[in-house]
This record gives sequence, C-alpha cells and structure tokens, in this order.
Amino acid sequence: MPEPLLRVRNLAKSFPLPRSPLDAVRRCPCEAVHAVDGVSFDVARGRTLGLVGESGCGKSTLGRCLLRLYRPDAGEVWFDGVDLVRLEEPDLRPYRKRMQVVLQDPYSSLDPRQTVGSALLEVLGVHGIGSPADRPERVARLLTQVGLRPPDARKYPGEFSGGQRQRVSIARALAVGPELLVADEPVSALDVSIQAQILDLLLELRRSLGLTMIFISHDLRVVRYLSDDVAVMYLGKVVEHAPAPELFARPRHPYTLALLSAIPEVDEPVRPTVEILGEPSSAVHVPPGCRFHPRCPWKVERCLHEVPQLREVAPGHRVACHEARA
Amino acid sequence: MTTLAGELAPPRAARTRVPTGLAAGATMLLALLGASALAPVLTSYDPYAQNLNAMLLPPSAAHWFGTDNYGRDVFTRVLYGAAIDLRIAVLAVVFPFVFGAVAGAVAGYLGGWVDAAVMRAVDVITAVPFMVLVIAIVAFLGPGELNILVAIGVVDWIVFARLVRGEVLRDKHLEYVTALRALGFSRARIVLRHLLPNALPPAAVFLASDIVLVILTTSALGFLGLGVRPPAPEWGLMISEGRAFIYTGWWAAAMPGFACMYAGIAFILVGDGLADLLRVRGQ
Amino acid sequence: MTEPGLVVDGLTVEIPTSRGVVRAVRGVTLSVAPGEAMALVGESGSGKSMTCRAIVGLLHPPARITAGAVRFQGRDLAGLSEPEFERIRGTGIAMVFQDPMSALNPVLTIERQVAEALPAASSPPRERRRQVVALLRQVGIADAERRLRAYPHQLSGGQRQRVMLAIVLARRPAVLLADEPTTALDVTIQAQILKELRRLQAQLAMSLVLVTHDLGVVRQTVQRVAVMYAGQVVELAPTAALFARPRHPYTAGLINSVPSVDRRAALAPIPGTPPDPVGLGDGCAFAPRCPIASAECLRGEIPLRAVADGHWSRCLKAHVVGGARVAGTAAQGS
Repeated sequence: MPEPLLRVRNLAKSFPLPRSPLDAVRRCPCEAVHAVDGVSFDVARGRTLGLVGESGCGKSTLGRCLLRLYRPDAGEVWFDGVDLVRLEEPDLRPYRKRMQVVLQDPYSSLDPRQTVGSALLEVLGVHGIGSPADRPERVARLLTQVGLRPPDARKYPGEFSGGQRQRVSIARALAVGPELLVADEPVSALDVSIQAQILDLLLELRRSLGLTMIFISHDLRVVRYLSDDVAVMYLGKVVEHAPAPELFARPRHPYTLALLSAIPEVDEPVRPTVEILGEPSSAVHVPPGCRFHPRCPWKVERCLHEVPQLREVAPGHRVACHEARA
Repeated sequence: MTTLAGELAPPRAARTRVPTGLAAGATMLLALLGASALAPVLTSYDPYAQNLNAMLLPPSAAHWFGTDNYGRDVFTRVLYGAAIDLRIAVLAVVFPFVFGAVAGAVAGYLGGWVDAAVMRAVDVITAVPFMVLVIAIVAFLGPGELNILVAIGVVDWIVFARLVRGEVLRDKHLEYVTALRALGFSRARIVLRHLLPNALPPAAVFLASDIVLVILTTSALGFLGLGVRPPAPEWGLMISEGRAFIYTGWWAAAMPGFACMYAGIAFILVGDGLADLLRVRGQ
Repeated sequence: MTEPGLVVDGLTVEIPTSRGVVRAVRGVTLSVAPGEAMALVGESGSGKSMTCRAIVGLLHPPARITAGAVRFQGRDLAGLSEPEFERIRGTGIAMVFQDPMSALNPVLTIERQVAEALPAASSPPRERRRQVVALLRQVGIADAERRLRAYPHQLSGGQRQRVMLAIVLARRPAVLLADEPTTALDVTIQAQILKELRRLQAQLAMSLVLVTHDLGVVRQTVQRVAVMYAGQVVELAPTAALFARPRHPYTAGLINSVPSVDRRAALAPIPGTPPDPVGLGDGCAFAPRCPIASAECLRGEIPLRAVADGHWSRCLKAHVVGGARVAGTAAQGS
C-alpha cells in the first residue's frame, strides 16, 4: 500500500484578536478565532478529498495551511514524506511547484495589468521551467489544455468572462506541473451553466494529469460530483470523514444529515430530514464538549462536556459523535 | 456579483485611443519646449543684455512682451527661463515619485515595524508646512538649483508614499496576491512587479499636479531670493523683480506669470490624460 | 373589477452605454396572482433583477423602461410620480435584496430600523416596541428583546436577512419581490429562511416573486417558474411540469448543469457563454448554444407560445425538448 501523498496530523491554526490597550493592561487573556482545531486526515495519490462545511468552519484556513500560506500553530503536514510545517521559506520553494491552488474570485485572482500570456510566462520563468525559447509554446499548450485558444495570450484579464478567468487561473496553477491541487471554492462565484463547464474541466484535467485534489466547497452537490472522499467540517474540526458514496448513502453525524437535508434538490428528496436550529456558535468562544451540541437534535448529557473523537464506524468511515447512529 | 460589467460578454480589444486632454497638454508642453529650444532662432535678443535706454517698454512689434526695468526683452527671458523652470520641475519630482512609491509600496505590503517607521517619518514631515520646510532646508543649504532639488526631494516624497501605500494596503488582500505567494514568488517580485504597477495610476495623476506645485515652489523661492540667483531668467525671479513696477510696467511680472499658468495647465491636462491612458484594456 | 395581483406586460428596459444600447429586459410578460409564489430564474445578464427593479421603480439611471406596462391591482405603475410610487412601495409591493449588510443602515439599531417601517399611525413607544418584538419573533429571531439594541454588524448574515424580512413585513405588503435573498447565506440558514418565507407567505396571503439562479430552491419553494435568458422569458410553467418536462433547451440545459448529491451521473454543461447584451436582435438569443437550433431559429421574432396547460415556451421546437433529468443532450424524440 503506497504512502499517501498527503498526511495531516493534528493541524491547528488560530488568529488572535486584537486587544484594546485597556485589556492588555488588565492582562485579560488574548482571545482568538480558533479556525482549525486539531484536524487529521490522509489523501492518497490520485484521490480527491472534498472538504465541506459552512462559513466559519475553517476549511479555507485549512487549505491555506496545507499550502503553507499560513504557518500552522501546531500539527504536521507530511507531503511525500516531508513535514512542511517544519520548513522555512527557502526550503519550501521546491514544494511550491508540487502543490498549487485555484481560488474563488475570478475577478481578483489575476493581475489586471498583466496579459494572460505574460503572466504564464512569468510563472515559467520564475521556476525555470523550459528554456526561454520554448516557453511561448508551453503557454500555448497550457491555454489549450484549459479550453482557451493560444491567441488569447495577448488579452488582459478584463477582456475575459468569469468562467474564462477561472480557466486562466487553472492554467497558471498547472504551469508548474503540480501533483496536488487545492481548489478553494473554484466555482462558487460562477453561473450555474459555467460552473458545470469548469467542473468538467477539472474532472478531465484530473484524469489526464493524474492530479491529487483537495476540493473545498460549501456546496455538497458540487463536492459529490468531484470527490472520492469527503470530510465534513464544523467549527474547526472534522466531524465526519468517509468515501463519498458511503457518506452520501449512510451519513452518520447529525450535522451531515442536516446539511444534506438543507440542500434544495432538483429531484425529490430520498432521505429523512434533520433540521437544526439556530446559528453556528462563535469560533472564539467554542462550546465545551462537542462543538455542535447547542444545535444538535440528538444531544445527551455526555455531549456537553466530552469532546467526541473521530472513530471508525464502518470501513473507511469515521465519525466524531457520541450518538452516531450505526 | 451580478454587475453589468460582469454580465457583458468579453468586449473586443479596443485600440488604445490617446485621450484628447493628454494630447492637448502634451502639445502645449512640446510647444513650450520647442520654443525654448529654438529661442536663439525666435529672438535675437540676449536674455542678459541690459539696455537702459529701453526700460519698461510696453509690448510692441519690436518687443513682443515688452521690456523689464533693465531694458531686457521679456519674451526672450520667458523663453530662456522655460528651460530653467521645466528642468527643475521635472528633475525635482523624479526622486520623490520613485522613492515615495517604493517606500509606500513596501510599507503597505510588509506592515509591522517597517510600515510604522515609514509612516512616522511621513508624520514628522507632514507636521511642518511644505513651504516652510523647503524654505528652511534651502536657507540652510544655501541658494542654487541643486539645493532646491534636494530640499524638494526630502519633503515631497511623502504624498506619493501615502497614495501608493493606500492602494497596496487594499490590493494586497486580492486573490492574485495569494496565488502568486502560493506560486513561490518572492515578496520583492510581488510588491515591485505586481502591486506597485497597479498602485501607480493615482500617483501618476498626482505627479502632474506635483510638477505644477514644484514650479510654483521654485518661483516662490526665487521670489524670496532663496532659489536661482539673478540675473538668471527664472520665472519666479522675474515676477519678484517685476513686482515693484506693476503699475508702470505690468508686463514685466505678468508675462512670466502667464507662462507659469500655461505650464501648469499643460501639466494638469497631461496628468488627467495619463489616468485614462494608464487604464489597461478591460479595466 | 380590477385585476388583482401584479401584471407585467411586455416590459422593456434599455440602458444606453458607450458601446451601444443594452436591452436588459425585452418584452417580458408575466403575472402573479394574490397569494401565489413564483420564481424568476436565470443567470447573470438574464434581466431578472432588472425586471424586479423596474417593477418597483428602482432602476438606476440611465436605465429606463422604454416599452410595456406594470400593473398592480389594476393600476398602471409606469406613469406614477415618485411620491405616488413611494406609497405603493412597502405596502403594495416590497423588495428584499441579496446582501442584507448593505441593505441595513449600519448606524441604527435593529429596533429603530424595524420601527421605522411600521405604519405611520402614531402609537405610544411601548406599543411600537411590542410590535417590533412581535415582528422579529415572526421571522424567527430568537431572543428578540435582547436583539433590539443590536446593530447590524453584530448579527450574522442569516439574522440580518431575517431583520430585512421583518422590516419588509411590517407593512404587510401584498407582493414581495425577493432578489436572491439567500444566495449569500449558508445552506442550513438558507433552508431556514426559505421555510420562514413560505410560512409567512401562507399566513399573510402574500404574493412572492423569488429571483434566484438556484434551481433547487425553485423546486422547493414556488408553484410557478419563469425562466429568463438574455432579457426574455423563455419558459413559463408550473414547477412540477417544468422539471418533469422542460420545453426549452435552455431550461433543460440548466437542469442538466446542476449536480446532485444523489446522482453521480455526468453533467451536460451548456457550451459557450451568454450573448453580448449590446446588439441583441431578432431570432432566438440561445440559438448559438442550442443543440437543436436550425436556420429558422435565427430569424424573426419568436413569440412565447402555449405548449400545454399553463405551460409556455419560446422555442420553435418545444415539442422535441427532452424529458426529465437526462444525462446528455437536451434533445430527444417526443
């Protein structure tokens, strides 16, 4: 069994909140937003992990920690046998070629003053890919690969539509030849019909390039379409993690059930509805015990003070809930 | 998300038309420079030659702008003075623009103590009125063209720094910056090759107004006897010397004043036009 | 007998731009009966938001209505002056927008903003407060009394949207136009808000026009759907009928573009991009992207025709458009 490409262990990241000088003098403890609080998972080579959750669950922060755009406060990120958390910036450079990102907003993810072609050439130049003579051809090939045309290289981002700009972002990420692609809500800002085009593009690229992907989204429908495994996050922790068909067929955590019930589906619903009330708690003052307990319809006494750990309830299917139904 | 701009399908690439304001301003400047360069051809008078028989003559066919109180032809002196004033104006803003933009960009991007240091320097310089500080420095260093450049250089960079820093503070959160960091681009590259060019348009527009300000400052320094020394035909000096004769020979002071106005209008037109020009296709 | 409800008749909205005239809404006709819930579905540039703004007279100049009429309870709204319109807005027709943060005044408390919306009849402050609390409870804000003194930035997105609803409902409007009210919200909150909307609609016998791009929301919330593309209504039908058998290739394409949690079938994205709104002429605007288009689709004005009971389509080939949820092209034999 080959080593997973990515192994994450107990990753944690908090963002301290600014204190007023008065509080500092009174030595009030510094409050922080606990964005990611002890997350562990593996991703095997060539597989796609879908990270799902609503706003504030920490999925975007987690993605950025994996790419070392943030420095995690604790935990390990083992990429191909090397812990990236331990590395400093110059040593991280070669790894930046092997893991890339596609972000959400097509209107701000490209430098508006750079033509698409020169942006791609710059990426190739900075990483010394190819020779200056053959780089223009590589750029042409990259553009074709994402469904654009080589003459588009002369255009500025402002001359493209949202969907086309996302294609350019994907081309830029692929320019360095990564093995891992982290896609953080890549289609959320696009129209439905364009979303479908970009999803199919990602599907095709994954197949032809053998990419390992982490697909972050709040939309379970989209995650279902692309992912092999799915991890559901809530307030900084993974609450359920299973292969996609298993998770959608037999969800065990009440939050997962609630998410699935809440999706407005075009087809008739096939599963029982679980409704949860209220709003997510604050990530600054995290509820004791199970973080979900204030909203959970299944809660019992235990949930109020004992933090549930992820435990395996079926092959490959882990749930963090005291009351997970078998 | 659904702005009209986002709804329109990508426009065909338009040719970058030169805006009329920019063309007009540039033409005015070129005319001035040309006239100044061609001064020996356009006028046979010597800007320094005094003719006490021809003092304060009104504008006529022989003297288009009249003569000043030393009998020198005002038109000639305005033309020769253009070279001085324009040279000082353009040179004086180069350092503030370049240094200010870079300092502002670096401060804005790095934040922390770098930003604090730069901003405190800006605060200190802002605390003293511009003219007062320039005058003080020139008074300390002594009059002369080079010292004017130094004084303005020390004081004027702060506006550019603030403008660029503001843009960078906002832009550094844009997603393309995150993407470039993930691509392993160095901070220097991100700031200097990406954020700075995007932050320049407001600074470039201000550059034009700043040149006008420098012209006026130079003139003021000349007026005060702190800048270019007589008998150089610098416009401010001419205004200063001609002031005493406003009622008997208004042209001696007014003509160089009109010249300042002309140059000022030209630069402002150029500045506004630059803003349009700097907008890249699709923005 | 005046015709009840809201009727939009041949509405056309044009916006002059430097590149030419943009016809954002082109001859839109639809009607909403009292108590009915209807959805306007479309993507960016379809004209759905413009239509709503035109109805309540909130178009930003230079956009303006150049043809057609909007009639509310029999009254033509087109010729109304601004003061007259102000009387209709709020009590007659009310609108909620997508981003509640920019719709609420950040420097006023919640109580103040909801109270402002109460009918102008003078009541003692205690009575007005009681009404505000009742409204907030009605839209599902827990702990309403404690929230009275809160400011918008202290509330979450879902709560702000509920406050928007409370403000709008204070006047008991006959028609509520909701422009993507839940798009910016998490899916669990969206489910709650939509449920509130349905409940309030039933309770107050209010008409609802829900503008959205999410077909799933449409399926769960409304009785009738109008699908818009490039400024025109291309299909109009009861919800069940629309999803069971769409009669316009764009509708079918949209339905096939939405992934589902329960099916892993391939998506069939619609190729190409929406047309440039400048220079839209005759013929079907969708034809360049349509799998079943032919020469006749590009000429002449194509009308909205009835293809079944209460089901209208602007496709010349409505009879060949395929069945429910096909994975593949929209065309199928009839």
